[in-house]
Amino acid sequence: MTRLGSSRSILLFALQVLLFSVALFAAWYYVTPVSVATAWGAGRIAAATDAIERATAKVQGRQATFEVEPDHETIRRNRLPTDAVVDVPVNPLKHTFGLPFFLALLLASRPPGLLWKAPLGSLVVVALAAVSLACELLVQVGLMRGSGSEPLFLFGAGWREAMALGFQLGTLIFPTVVPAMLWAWMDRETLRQFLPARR
Amino acid sequence: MLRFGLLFAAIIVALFAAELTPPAQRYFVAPWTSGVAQVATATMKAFDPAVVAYGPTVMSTKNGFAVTILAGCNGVEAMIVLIAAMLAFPAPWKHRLVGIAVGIVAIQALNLARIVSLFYLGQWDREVFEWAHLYVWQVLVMIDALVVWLVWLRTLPRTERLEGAAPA
Repeated sequence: MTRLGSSRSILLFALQVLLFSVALFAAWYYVTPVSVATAWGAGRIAAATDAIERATAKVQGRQATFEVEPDHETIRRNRLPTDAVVDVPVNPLKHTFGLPFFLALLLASRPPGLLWKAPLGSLVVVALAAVSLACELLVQVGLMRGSGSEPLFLFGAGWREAMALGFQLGTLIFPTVVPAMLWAWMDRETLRQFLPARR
Repeated sequence: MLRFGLLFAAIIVALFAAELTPPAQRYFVAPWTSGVAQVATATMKAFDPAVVAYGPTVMSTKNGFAVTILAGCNGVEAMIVLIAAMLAFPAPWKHRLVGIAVGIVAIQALNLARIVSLFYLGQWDREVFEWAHLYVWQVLVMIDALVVWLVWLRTLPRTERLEGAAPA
């Protein structure tokens, strides 16, 4: 474990985080399953809203395209074909880059229980990325207009508030702050090294 | 740790909510962002006279390439995270204020490097620009904030460190 007992070792820790980040970011960029899992979760969340029947993601390369099927009420109101599908492209990487950051922090400090902390933390980061991706998808869907320039999909007030909040949190907090918070929670021993008695 | 986590979450949500209000955007975020663009332009002018700033937009008069500094690129969010972390941790107000001041300088210094690098990366390769803009620099700024916070913890008097680091 990295000892964070001095300012110098904090900088060494930061250097290790950077070095692990280089390797992990490269792996994350080329590993599609992270995007597939995130997009799958986002599709399930989107389908739980009141205007979407189903949202299926197809991940090709680094881009996810959601095939969004409107619910019966949306089809009836807009006089759409019963098999209407709207394609919405979204970049899942914008929401999942917290994963290599979290793993780099964890590998740099190497806390006890790393083997369960890494997968558990990754699960939390990917789950929050799915929420964030779903909110971006729903915001895009909510902005779509029908032939008479009226909104194509009508979401309830609660869903609209949740989308706006989720989009803000997903953009500002989830990919950067949550990994650091998770690391601090999972590696409290490192933080306790600041105790004078341990020096 | 639990107390710190809850306080940190509460303060960060309150500060982000305050930042998004129209008065904060008008009287703090917009002028701050323009100031960041002006400082970045002045820095680049030292070695590249073809750089000009129009409000939050930095442009090259050589090739017309321009970047606009928006929310998320002005360092305000990282400042909020650091301020929340310092306010949530038990410490004397004097230490908090000094830590916040030094932290803001550290974050803005790295953010300046970010803007300058992105300005030239964008003129060189669009894909590399996107990669650095969307992923790499966001993490680097957060590591900067984390390091400042950890170093700040080291400077705290003994009693506060003991209280703050006590198990939940």
